[in-house]
Amino acid sequence: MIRIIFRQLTTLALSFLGITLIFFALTQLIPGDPVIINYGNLTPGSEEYLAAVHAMGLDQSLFQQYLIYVDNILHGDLGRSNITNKPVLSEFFTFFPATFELSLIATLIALIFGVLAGVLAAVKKNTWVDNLVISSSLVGYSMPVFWWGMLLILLFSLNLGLTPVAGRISYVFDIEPVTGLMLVDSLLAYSKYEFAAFFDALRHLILPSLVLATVPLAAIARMTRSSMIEVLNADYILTAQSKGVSRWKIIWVHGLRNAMIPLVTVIGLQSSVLLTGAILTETIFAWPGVGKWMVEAIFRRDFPSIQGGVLLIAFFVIFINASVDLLYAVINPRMRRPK
Amino acid sequence: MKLLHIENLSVEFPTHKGNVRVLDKISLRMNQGEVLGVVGESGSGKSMLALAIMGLLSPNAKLTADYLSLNGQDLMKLNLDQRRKYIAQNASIIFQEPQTSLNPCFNIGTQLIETIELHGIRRRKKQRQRALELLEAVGITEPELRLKQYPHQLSGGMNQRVMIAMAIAAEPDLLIADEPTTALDVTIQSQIIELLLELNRTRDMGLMLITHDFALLSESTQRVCVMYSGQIMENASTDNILSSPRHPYTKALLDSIPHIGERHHMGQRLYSLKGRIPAIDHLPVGCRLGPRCPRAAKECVKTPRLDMIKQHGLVRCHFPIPSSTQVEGERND
Repeated sequence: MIRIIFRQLTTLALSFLGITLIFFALTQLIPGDPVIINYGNLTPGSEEYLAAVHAMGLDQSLFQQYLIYVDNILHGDLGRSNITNKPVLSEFFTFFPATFELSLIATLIALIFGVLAGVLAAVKKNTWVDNLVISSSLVGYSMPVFWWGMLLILLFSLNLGLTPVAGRISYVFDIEPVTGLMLVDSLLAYSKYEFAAFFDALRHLILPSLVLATVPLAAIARMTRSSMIEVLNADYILTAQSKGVSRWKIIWVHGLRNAMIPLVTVIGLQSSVLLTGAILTETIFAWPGVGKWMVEAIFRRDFPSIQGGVLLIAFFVIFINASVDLLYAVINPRMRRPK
Repeated sequence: MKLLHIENLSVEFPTHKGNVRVLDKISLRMNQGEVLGVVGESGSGKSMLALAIMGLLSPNAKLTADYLSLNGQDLMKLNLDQRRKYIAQNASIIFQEPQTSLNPCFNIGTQLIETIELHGIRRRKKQRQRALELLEAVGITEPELRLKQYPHQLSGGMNQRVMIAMAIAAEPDLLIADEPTTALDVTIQSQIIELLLELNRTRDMGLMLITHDFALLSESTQRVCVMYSGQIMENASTDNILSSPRHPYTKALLDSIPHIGERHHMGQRLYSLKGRIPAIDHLPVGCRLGPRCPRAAKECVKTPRLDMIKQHGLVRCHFPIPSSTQVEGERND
């Protein structure tokens, strides 16, 4: 186990290094003079201009510039936003909990309902249940997120009035951010109205998390189905049946435990889909998360924020995939070293 | 009371070309503690028979039988859940590939204790003790360690022993071994067969040994049932079958065994029947062996019945081979 953890950490470090390299190369390709962008309209060649070049370290070799860049990242310095002049890192982390909360709930929805639908389809193979799961998951998988989100807002918010249109919580509630997760903060904020606030936050969460969950849910359902069908044909299922193990236990313990192994990898890969989906979903639902912050940064040409944000998201995706690989080793006994 | 009593058991699968009958009116009986061999080439339906008896056929299979009883209980009167439950308490099965027959995600202890728990031992400590007993009974060394190990950490022979330990956990009266040694090394093969026979003797447990290997049967079984293309061709005592097979197919099977020590001429081919076993959805008219049979005649387009031959057993053939001495003469023609 320690060996596997060590290997994961090494890959993690190398991936981080690789990403910084790509990012550094990309920043060199962005058109425009970084000095003018940062300091305004200085005449190239003037004394102030050269002073600015020196201050930004642009007179050093590319390699040294890269080292400074990496060194800054390691110290948590991703530059300051052009618009707000706040450090990008702290900006990112004020918006991140909202995205984290949304993605977490969406992942849970996708996982629970995706696995349920997939197992059901596998057990009822070639019946109408199976056909329903296959066809609806295909529709779900190919649905454009922004369009699907608007459809749901039209139906549930505007026509039926069941859910709010946008935001994380109603303005009636004034929630002090403690953890940044609205579901937790709303419970902590009041002594009297905490449940009203909690359910209000929950109502705000339903539509966006549903929209965000759609694509991963469909992918997980399909993968679970095929993986489960394969597992249910295995010899050890016959063995379990001959032992007299109940049907329920065969499916959910003997079957699903094996079917989860390939599934875990898929779930890890879905994390990047989830984060790109989050950018669209947050824009549609005016969800104050990293996605919406990034889109606004793009509209305002706030380059340090864009760079820093994308870099952090990339780190996050790598981190999730490394954790998933670790999880894979935990749930698959064959990955462990024989004693 | 018979341990196993089957009358006219048939299994059909629906396909787009209509129903396909993979087992055709199988009838056989086993006494308590008897060792019965079932032989036949691949595709003869011998594994299907094992699954049918154990109630493990896939849900789309249609099983019909005039009578099917295990330990005196008429299985056809039970619904699927009751049947599986009853069978699990009275019969066990082990399969060809021990590595895939054990669940790769659970360690040996978990799988063994699951079975033990299903048979009524509730207390953790007793379950563990019983698991260790069973592992020792099947000749596994260091049982304490094995409980914590996973199937991929054990050898094929060891896994098959674990399968056997699991099979006898229920103290079954019938153990079906479906080609239990095919996937194992030759030295391990004989050990596993020895173990099965020892369990048969010490626990008075009926053993159905399914194989395509006649050599295996000659030493271990009392009776042999020869299957071809979903039908029983010959069913007689092992001695009778080995000394004078009456069905041409049985004889062909016996003749195809290479004998160590027997002189083979350079370039001489081993005896084998022409052609191959017919596709189950494309059977010949009449006797299923007909097109491949060296003794076939005009009458063989009529389906032969499984008839009793005195002082031998049941044979399904219009022209059974008369007796052993004449067989030898005929062969040298």
